[in-house]
Amino acid sequence: MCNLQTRLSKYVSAHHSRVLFRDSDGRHLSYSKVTELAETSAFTLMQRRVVLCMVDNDLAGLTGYLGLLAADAIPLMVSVGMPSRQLQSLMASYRPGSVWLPESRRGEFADVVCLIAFDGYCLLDLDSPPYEVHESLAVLLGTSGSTGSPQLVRLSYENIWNNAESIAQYLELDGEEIPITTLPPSYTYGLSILHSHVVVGATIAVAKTTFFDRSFWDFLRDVGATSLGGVPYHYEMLERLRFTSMDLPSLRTLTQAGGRMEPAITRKYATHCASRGMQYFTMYGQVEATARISYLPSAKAVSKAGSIGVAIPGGRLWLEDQDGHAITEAGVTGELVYQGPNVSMGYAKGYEDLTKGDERHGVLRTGDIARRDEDGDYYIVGRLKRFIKLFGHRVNLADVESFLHEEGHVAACAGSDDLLEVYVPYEAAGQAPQVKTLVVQYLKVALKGVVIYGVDSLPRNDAGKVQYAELRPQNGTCLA
Amino acid sequence: MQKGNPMTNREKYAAAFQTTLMVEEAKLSNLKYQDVSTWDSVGHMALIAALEATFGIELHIDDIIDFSSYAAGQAILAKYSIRMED
Repeated sequence: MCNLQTRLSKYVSAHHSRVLFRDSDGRHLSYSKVTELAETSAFTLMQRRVVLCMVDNDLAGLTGYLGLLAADAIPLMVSVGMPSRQLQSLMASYRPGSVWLPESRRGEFADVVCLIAFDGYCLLDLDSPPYEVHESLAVLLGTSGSTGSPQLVRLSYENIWNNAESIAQYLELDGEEIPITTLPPSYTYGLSILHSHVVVGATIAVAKTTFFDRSFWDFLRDVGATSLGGVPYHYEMLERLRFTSMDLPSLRTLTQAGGRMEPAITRKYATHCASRGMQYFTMYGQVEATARISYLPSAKAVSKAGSIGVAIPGGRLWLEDQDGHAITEAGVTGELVYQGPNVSMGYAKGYEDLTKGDERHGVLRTGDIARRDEDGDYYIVGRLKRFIKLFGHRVNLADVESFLHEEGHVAACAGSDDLLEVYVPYEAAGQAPQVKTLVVQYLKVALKGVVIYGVDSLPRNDAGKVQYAELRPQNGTCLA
Repeated sequence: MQKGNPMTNREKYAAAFQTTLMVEEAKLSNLKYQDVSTWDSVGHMALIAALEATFGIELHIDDIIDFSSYAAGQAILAKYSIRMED
């Protein structure tokens, strides 16, 4: 265990004089800064304490995150946009010892001592009593976007660094790589890009801007970025920006994860990459497995567009039928099951759960339905669990329903990735715009991701259970 | 909108913002990209799509990127001969 806890320190000291981060203002920090921060008395004070970590893609925020990890603190990652109320509720559930956040949000914490300030960020002492945490626990990550749900995934040191090394291996990363950030560090895919590049001593180009900011593309060219990763909606943006006609000579690799993308789009980008001598990787994963579970080797990116490929190095994938028996024939669908050292320890709903050890023993039932072809490549064909992904972030449909119920609305949710369908009875049609507003604000997603349908009544069986399979847009009328 | 009284370009422009970004009319004139949570990159795509459909145009990549505020957008649309009435 000791060995794993110090793995980050090993990478950092091996690369200590190399540049870790560059930003668009021309500033940079080296790997040694992580050690420097980790060794401050403020950071060492947080050893084996949960630290709320609200960081953006910037030098200080990310260096602080790695510093906390190196100081053996347990970062609890939250998005920078998390509203104060949700932050307070997470703090009540997890009683963190301190919070690492931009100075601009310091005002939300009255009468607290700043333990250390660094380049626009500060570590605020929350003065909460310490409690016991499991020795393997390294990081806490949310399962959904930014709804402030108290359910977090418990990740161990072994999970994080095994997954990072596996990713570095199949992407063939080395110290010359310069990935440019496109995803928030509170999001498992964003964090995995950071970790896998720290392993090899690469330089990460940190950008706060989006594809729709000119400065993003200027920075990408100036810094000589070699790769970028995106969820399906990023590729939708690249489509709109006619990415394939852009001249970006430094770019060598595109990766895609975070949900199912139309095979036609995948094929288009994979073909584009092949024509430019670039690599394209479709990847699949879940936060319950730290980040990555499978990848489609770049050589098969075009011919097998739509496939999630094979298990990452060190992991194993198989399918199980309804009775839990392994399916051996090709072409048969079943639940996708994964085994590997990156399978998380389990969930937590509050600080009391942080003493728990590994509850999954390396095996994760993904909840996704898949089939395998004759070559051993997997294809996701459906989902067992009632959730969809909105722009890369998981949305639990039952959560949305119970939220609406609390707000006094009767509704049932369905939909597919990037489109949440909310069904309400016609008699409540007048409230449809309000329901839409509530859902959009609750999930903090764009309006185009949510549509409200009116139906005569919510389809229920004799037991009163909503029959979700009958919820279809064609059975209702679009209200908002 | 009443019959025989079609929306002006200014009204159509404002309506595209209101329906895709859910922003009150009073806040529109000073609105900038990422000022509100709905005008993020996903919202931007929806807004551009709505404007393209409303005015029957296809925005150039540079214009999509430079479309950084309610005010800037009016100047961009003027390049496509979409003028806001006074």
